[in-house]
This record gives sequence, structure tokens and C-alpha cells, in this order.
Amino acid sequence: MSTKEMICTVCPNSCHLTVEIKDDGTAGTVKGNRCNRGSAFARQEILCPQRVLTSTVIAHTGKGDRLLPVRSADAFALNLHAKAMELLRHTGVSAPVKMGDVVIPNILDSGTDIVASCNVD
Amino acid sequence: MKQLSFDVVVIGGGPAGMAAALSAQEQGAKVAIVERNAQLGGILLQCIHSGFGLKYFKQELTGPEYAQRFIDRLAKTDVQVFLSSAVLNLTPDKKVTLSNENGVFVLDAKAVVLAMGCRERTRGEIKIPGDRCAGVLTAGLAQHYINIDNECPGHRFVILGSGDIGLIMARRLSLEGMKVAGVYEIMPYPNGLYRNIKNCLEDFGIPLHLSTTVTRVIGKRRVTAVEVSRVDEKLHPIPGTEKVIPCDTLLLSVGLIPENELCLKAGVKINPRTNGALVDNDLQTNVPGIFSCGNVLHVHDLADNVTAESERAGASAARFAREGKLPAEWTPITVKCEMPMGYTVPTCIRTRKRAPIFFRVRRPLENYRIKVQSGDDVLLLCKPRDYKPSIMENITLPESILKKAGNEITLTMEPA
Ligand SMILES: Cc1cc2nc3c(=O)[nH]c(=O)nc-3n(C[C@H](O)[C@H](O)[C@H](O)COP(=O)(O)OP(=O)(O)OC[C@H]3O[C@@H](n4cnc5c(N)ncnc54)[C@H](O)[C@@H]3O)c2cc1C
Ligand code: SF4
Repeated sequence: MSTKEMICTVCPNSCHLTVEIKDDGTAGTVKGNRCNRGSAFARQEILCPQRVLTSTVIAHTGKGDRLLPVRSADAFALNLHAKAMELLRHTGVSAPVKMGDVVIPNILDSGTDIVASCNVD
Repeated sequence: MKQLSFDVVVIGGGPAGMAAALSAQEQGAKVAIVERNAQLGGILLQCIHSGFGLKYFKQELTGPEYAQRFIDRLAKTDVQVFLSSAVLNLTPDKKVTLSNENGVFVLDAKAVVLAMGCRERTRGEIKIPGDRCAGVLTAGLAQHYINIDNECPGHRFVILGSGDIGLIMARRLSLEGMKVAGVYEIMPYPNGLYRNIKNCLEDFGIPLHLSTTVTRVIGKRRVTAVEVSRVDEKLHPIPGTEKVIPCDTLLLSVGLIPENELCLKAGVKINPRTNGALVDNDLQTNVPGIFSCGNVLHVHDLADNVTAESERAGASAARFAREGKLPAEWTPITVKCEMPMGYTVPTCIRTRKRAPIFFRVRRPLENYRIKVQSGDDVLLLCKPRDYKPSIMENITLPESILKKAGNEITLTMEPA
């Protein structure tokens, strides 16, 4: 059994976590977290780190093209982000767009959608 | 010149300006916002990453989402928004001169809220020696190029300064397929939030070099490399530690300065410790009826704190517009601070009810506590904990302490 130090990134408190790593590679007890979300974060982090991805796609509007900021609705596997960026680079949408509109559903079968971060008229 | 009158005129339409306008409007004031960009939202529009709203909306939002929520709220009010309109002048009797494509206008205001945000420190301000070539720019400008203009400012980057903007840009550039050779920080500790160091550097294998700075820019027409050196405890470069790092772009993330040129014109006094206005607990400056909030007052790391502060400023401004002054039944308490506490906002308290005080420490402190004194009397000793310069802190002084405070209090940090 070993331990791993990490910082919880769920909220700005940035708690220092000490995670017990069991012999099978999974997380045991978590210390240093000020709330429960911290231990869930540590377990997930050991299993497969998940992050929210944000980027931009081209939006075609009546007044020419502009960038539309987009995000993944939820965090998804960090190791899929490079591939997701490749998809986003070749994605365009047509205005009008509303915040929350789905730009790419269920990206790379991750279970989360890429959605618009703001309105474009 | 056309003349228009309002109860409250808000200068700047970022999160600070939008929150101030909404809260003044809720108090029944006739409100205008003047914003020089074509859109409301301020710096949030280019901060496409998530990390906003955890406190205020209890949800992790991106910058544009955070802004859109306030834009939507404003659209449901009668707040008049002047876009693409730059404020050129502000007088002590609260005449706001703005210029836009229709000409020059003067808005007559009973109260004014300053919410102009801040700008980034540049190469000249930190005096990096070396060649004067293209390829040196601030991280926020690079962020604008990439996230708004769809332009790529370089291919191989070195980032100087570990402030949040630099860290966020390191990730953004990596995601866009650019190479970030490293982030160099002159201080022995990182300046950004830890969550950004983890999510923006560690996730992408980008090294962070502490106690190291850029000592020379190298290149004829365009940057071809930078020289970095380690520094000693006094932050002086150590001869013999120089290393040349090939790159075509140097991004600077070396701090923000409140954008206060208008304040000076109105006779608003500036606090040399923050470069923002000196304000009291109502966020009123020394000029009656002129209020200040957000990054133009002091640099905030979280937009949520900007919003909360600006709501207070907007409410104060509405009250001033309605009553012609703010209540002054108490003698003011001057708030002083001593190192390692760097500054306080406010610097003057005019109430005895309760008063939040915001501050930053100047260096990382382990197991320190806040001490509030009036003369030799210790009024308050807080529970010890760790403090970091990258995090804006606050403490609320309750009625019981304010009543004992006399006309001056001093805040310090002491080891437990
Ligand atoms: C790169 C970066 C990353 C950040 N990341 C986070 C994060 O993850 N989470 C978080 O909570 N916070 C973050 N912040 C902090 C947060 O975004 C800021 O604290 C906040 O946006 C400041 O709001 P403001 O309204 O004071 O200033 P701004 O957003 O700068 O708005 C000021 C507005 O005033 C206008 N203006 C200025 N002068 C004039 C004039 N003379 N006439 C008319 N208009 C004028 C400007 O055009 C601008 O729109 C980040 C900031 C930056 C720069
Ligand atoms: S453990 Fe809880 S309080 Fe600490 S950083 Fe994580 S979410 Fe925030």
C-alpha cells in the first residue's frame, strides 16, 4: 500500500488530499478533504481523471464568421480531450445559437454533450 | 452635445458593472451602463474556461456563461446600456462624458459607479532587457487573439509569471496544439490558484520553474529564444545559472493594474497599495457619490467576489442618488494594516453594525492569525491557518468590535 498527495480542484478551497492507494491500484481512505466532494474527486482521479473541456468553434452569422465559446456540459475523461479538440476544430454552427444549445451530442461516446457557452445572434 | 440624466451611471460593463447596475436598478434607481466594447461582459468574454460561479451560482460556469446570465437579467430591466461608447471624462459633480459613433454625450448622474476593470502589466513595466523584437505579448492579449479573433500568436511559447492568466493560457495553447516550453516564476512559490497549476500545467506535463526569471529576450525581428536565470532570495539573477530556451513567443503574466485614469480626473484619491481608489465600507470614494468596485478597485481572482462587492456598490449608489448622501451618524474608523498584510479594502468604516474587510497577504504564511488592534488594545485574534498571496481573503468585523474600535484600527498577521 502507498499514498498519493494531490490537490482537490473541485472548488477554490484547493484542499491538500492524501490518498491511500490499495494494492489493486484503487483508492482507499482520503484525508485532508474539507467536504465529501473531495474524496469522490480523489477516487475518480486515481481511476481516470475527468475534466471539463472548453474551446471555441466557428459560428456562421449574417454578419460573417465569429468564434463561439463551447464547453462540455460535464467533465469527461482527460485522455479523450486531444481527440475531442480535433473534432471541435472541424466543427461549425449557424447562428442564432443560445447558451446551452448542443453543438456535439455525446462527444466520443463520453456521455457528455458539447454545448454553447453564450448566445450568438 | 446632448445631455441625459440618470440616478446612477455605471462606467464599465464587465461583471462588476453589470452587478452594480442590477442592484441599483432593484433599489428603484434609473440606471445607465457605459461600455466601450460592442458587448457587455468585460474580460469574461475571453475567459472561455470554466471556474466561475462556484460561490455565486453554486455551479461551475465558463466566463461567457457567467456573463450571459447577467446580460439576460439586464435585458429584462429598463437599465439603459450604451455599447461601443468610451467614457472620456468624469467630473467631481458627476458629469460623465462619453463618445460613440453618434457623437459626444454628457450623462448627468446623481451617483457614479466606477467599474472599469484593469489592464495587464507589460514588458516596459517589468523592464526585461534584451532585443526589441516582435513576439513579446501579455497573456491576456494572447487570450483575446486565440479565443475571440481566431488568430494564433506563435508556435513555441515561454510564459513568464505563474498568475492565473498565464496558467490558463498554457493549457489553452497546449489544447490548440502549440508547444509551451515552460512557465517561469521569479518568486519561490506559484502565484496562481493551485487548481490551475494542477489542471493547466500538470495535466499537460508543462514544467513550472520557481525562483527563475527571464533575463534576456533574444531575436532579430522575431523572438528566437529567451535567456532564463535562477534568482537569489533578494530576487537578483544568479550569474552562471543562465539557460537559453528556444521559443518564438514570450507571454507575460506578471500582474494587473487597475485602470484608473478617469478617477484622477474626478479627484478620486488612489491607494498606492492597490492602485485602486480609497473607499469606505459603502465602497464610496473620497468624492461623495462616486463609488468603485471590481478589478478597478483591487484585483480579484474570482468573478464571484467581484459580483458580490459590486452589488453592494450599486445599492450604495442608488441610496446616495435617492437621499443625496449616505448616513453618517458615526465617526469614521480609519483602517490601517501592516506587513505582511498588503492592503485592506475598505480603509475607512462609517458604520458600527458590521463591516467586511478584504485583504491580501504579500507572501505565503503558514499558521498565522489575523490580529485587530485599536491602539494597544487587541480587539480580535482569529484562529490561525495558512494564507496565500494569490487568494483574496476577508474578515467581517461584528458590531461588538466596531463599537470598541475608537477612530482607528490596525490589522496585522502574526504567527500562532
Ligand atoms: C485570464 C483570466 C482568467 C480568470 N479566471 C477566473 C476564473 O477562473 N474564475 C473566476 O472567478 N475569475 C477569474 N478571473 C477574474 C475575473 O474574470 C475578473 O476578476 C473579473 O472579470 C473582473 O471584472 P470587472 O468587471 O471588474 O472588470 P472587466 O471584466 O475587466 O470589465 C471592465 C469593463 O470596463 C470597460 N471599460 C474600461 N474603461 C472604460 C471606459 N473608459 N469607458 C467605457 N468602458 C470602459 C472595459 O471595456 C470592460 O468591459 C480571471 C481573469 C482573467 C483576466
Ligand atoms: S475537498 Fe471539498 S472543500 Fe476541499 S477543495 Fe475539494 S470540494 Fe472544495
